[in-house]
Amino acid sequence: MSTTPLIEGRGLDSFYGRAQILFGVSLTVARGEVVALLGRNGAGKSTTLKTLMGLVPPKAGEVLFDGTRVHGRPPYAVCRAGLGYVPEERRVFAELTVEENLEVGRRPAREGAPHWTPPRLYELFPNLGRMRDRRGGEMSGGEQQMLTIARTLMGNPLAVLLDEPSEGLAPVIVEQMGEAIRALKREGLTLLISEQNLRFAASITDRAVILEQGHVRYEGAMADLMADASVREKYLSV
Amino acid sequence: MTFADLAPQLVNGLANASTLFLLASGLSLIFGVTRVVNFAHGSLYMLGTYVGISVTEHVSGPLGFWGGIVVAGLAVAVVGVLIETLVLKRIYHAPELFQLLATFAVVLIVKDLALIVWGAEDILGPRAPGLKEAVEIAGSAIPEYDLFLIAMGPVVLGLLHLLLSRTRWGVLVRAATEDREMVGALGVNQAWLFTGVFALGSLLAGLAGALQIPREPASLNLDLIAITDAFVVVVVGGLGSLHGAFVAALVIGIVKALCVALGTVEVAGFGIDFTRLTLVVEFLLMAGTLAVRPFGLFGRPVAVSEPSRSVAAVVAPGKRFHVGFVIGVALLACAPFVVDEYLLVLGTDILVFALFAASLHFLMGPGGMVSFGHAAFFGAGAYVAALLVRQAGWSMLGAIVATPFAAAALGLAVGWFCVRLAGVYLAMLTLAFAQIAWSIAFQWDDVTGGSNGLVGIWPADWASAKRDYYWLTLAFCAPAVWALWHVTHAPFGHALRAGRDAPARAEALGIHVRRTRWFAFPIAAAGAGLAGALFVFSKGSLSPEVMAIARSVDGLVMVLLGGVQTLTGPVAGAALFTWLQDETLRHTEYWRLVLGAVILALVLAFPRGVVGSLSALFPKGGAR
Ligand SMILES: Nc1ncnc2c1ncn2[C@@H]1O[C@H](COP(=O)(O)OP(=O)(O)OP(=O)(O)O)[C@@H](O)[C@H]1O
Ligand SMILES: [Mg+2]
Repeated sequence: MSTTPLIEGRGLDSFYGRAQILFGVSLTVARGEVVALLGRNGAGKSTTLKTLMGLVPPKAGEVLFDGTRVHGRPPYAVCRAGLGYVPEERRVFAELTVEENLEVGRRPAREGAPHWTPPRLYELFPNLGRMRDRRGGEMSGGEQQMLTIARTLMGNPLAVLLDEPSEGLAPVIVEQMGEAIRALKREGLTLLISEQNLRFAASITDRAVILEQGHVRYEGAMADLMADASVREKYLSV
Repeated sequence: MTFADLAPQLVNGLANASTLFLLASGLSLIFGVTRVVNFAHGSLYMLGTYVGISVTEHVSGPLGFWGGIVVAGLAVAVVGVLIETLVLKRIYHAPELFQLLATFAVVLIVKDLALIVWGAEDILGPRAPGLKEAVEIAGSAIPEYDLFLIAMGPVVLGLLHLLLSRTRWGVLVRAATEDREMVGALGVNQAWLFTGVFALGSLLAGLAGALQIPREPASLNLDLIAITDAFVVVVVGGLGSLHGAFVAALVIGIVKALCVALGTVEVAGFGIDFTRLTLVVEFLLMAGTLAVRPFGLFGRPVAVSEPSRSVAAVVAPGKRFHVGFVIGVALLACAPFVVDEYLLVLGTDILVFALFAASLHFLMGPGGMVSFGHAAFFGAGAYVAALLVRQAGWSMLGAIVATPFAAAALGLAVGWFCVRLAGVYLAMLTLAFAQIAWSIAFQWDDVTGGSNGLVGIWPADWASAKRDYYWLTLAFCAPAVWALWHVTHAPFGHALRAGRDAPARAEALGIHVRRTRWFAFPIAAAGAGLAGALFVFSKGSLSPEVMAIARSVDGLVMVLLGGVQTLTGPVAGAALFTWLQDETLRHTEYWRLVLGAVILALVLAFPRGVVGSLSALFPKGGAR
């Protein structure tokens, strides 16, 4: 296996209009690794993921995917390169059925990535299998969250950017979500997960990157972070 | 009345509904996915009619006719794809108003190209081979071709439904209608999707135009007629809803037919001639529907992007601005000493339209409300002034002074309805009111002179010299424009802009957003009405054309050409537009072609520049 990281951001500066949100953000995610992106509300977690995906083009810095520069490319091209994206607002297509939502995400099989089909996804998320003809707009928040993840997996990505998968979900559902993410990890999928829920993040990730006001403030093993109360106090407590 | 009386009209109405649905469904699809309000959709319809007739002229018999329809559909689809790839593709990220301007330019260009190729005369098409007869149903003779068209509507609806629900392409189109960005993040190249949707929408417009060949002649007016009809259907049905468009087309077709069939009916001693209603009934229906259901019959209150979102903040004028204004007016006042009479007449026109454009800008810029029917106030002012002089025996000056008040009253009434809506829906409602006003002027023969209009409305003796009338116009227009600018930066203007940019925050600050928006209407209407009054005396006559859609469109082009983000933009735009129109008219009959090409060149040459400067002034969520 090569040593180039699968996802790499170098010195990223991102803006919304004239407001600078990211200040030289650099991070890497190795192949097969599951990394948590932590930080308080408004720290820039979502913006970092959008920048990596090409949804918010950075004004400075580079994004490399599997060693290839992808910044400046449109999101569809980044997706085709093998990077999947699951947004935080659960943007399911409300008028489309579960099956149709999955169809939108479908891409050809990819070498070196797990190959996903609707039946396999229904195994991963049994709830979805029971409501194939239900419209996205008529599903519960947890079901929608599963659907957005499944929809992205239909693209057979090498890596997925997952924005706050536990947000607003009941504890039981968060538990199911954790199960599913661990299953994806076993499949060899690379994941960068933005999270506010530290306990949840700790249960599914190997390593943590902490953002504060658009700057990377901490990087280290998840176990170290869990052992270091002062860092948690400084950057994560509210 | 018996069924036999009603049946032929009903069948006719249903047949119309089918082509109307084809036309409107194309517009709806294109808007749903690309969010472009494609004003050129009616031009595509018109091209369909012309191309279809041309084919039948060269190839006779059934092959010519049916082949002509297919060829027309395909040819128009190609034209649509060209428009999309050469023009719109470059400006998808530009503010919506620029896209609108670009499609206006296409309308102008297509109209003159059609004039060059097919001439100004209407061209009659052949009847459909094999469907020339009438069949007898319940005692009435029903044309076979009408029956064929009636069947076409549901067939096309069914095919579109299958396409959208059963194919991957259709699923992607529906997904993109909801959330384009997400579709892109899932690996779909939207460029192809957009081009494909444009091709399909244009194909439908071309087919609709060609299918009408046996029923109506090809004419250069079809473009604006078709686009307004299509807008009405789409808005009544609900933006983006195919089934809504189908139902709306049926309702409009049937109601129009009923109006014709009813004829003159005695109601409480009054004879009401319903046939006259056919010109406005669809707009009455639209106004009624929007008053009850602000998003149309089947529309959902989502994803109507507010055109105003892209409008930049107006920069407050400083002292230098005022000094510049005074100097500018002084220079203009000296003009009669140096220029000839011809230029003075042109100058008068420019002043009138500068006020017209500035008043429209007041709604669009600070108000964030795009009006497609601003000519209604201009026209109302012209008629009020003319009638005050002619019927009531007022002096010219008295009429000119009184007119803004009358126009403001109209603005108050129209605005009350309009501010209940937003975005494209609001724009369409203004269009509806303008069409209603137009048809009143067109049909109220006793008072307005109907389609002949009124003649002999010349200025009072003391202002009859071109030079004096120019000064008079300047004396009214300059203070009026200045007053509009002043209000823009008075507390009222601040409240208006606060309501445009952040309605929730404005409400929290104690601004009654809807009422503020409402009061913007009489102000803008007063300006346009005054312009109309000055216009009518400068021309000496007027006809319903003063408030036709074309004039509303002219106003929009003037404002957009000059730029919405500045106060002086609309004035400059009006001057440029009026001068360009006059200049090209002197050299060529094809002034629309030249003007359209100039506008397109401007829009395409500065997509980044204009957009860049706009977005720098007005930071907007980059991601969504
Ligand atoms: N579309 C936008 N336009 C302007 N500013 C934005 C936009 N989206 C986010 N911001 C601002 O950028 C900053 C970072 O936002 P971001 O969504 O990246 O934070 P986050 O870490 O994901 O927060 P959360 O935990 O609340 O999701 C915030 O201050 C936010 O207000
Ligand atoms: Mg976030």
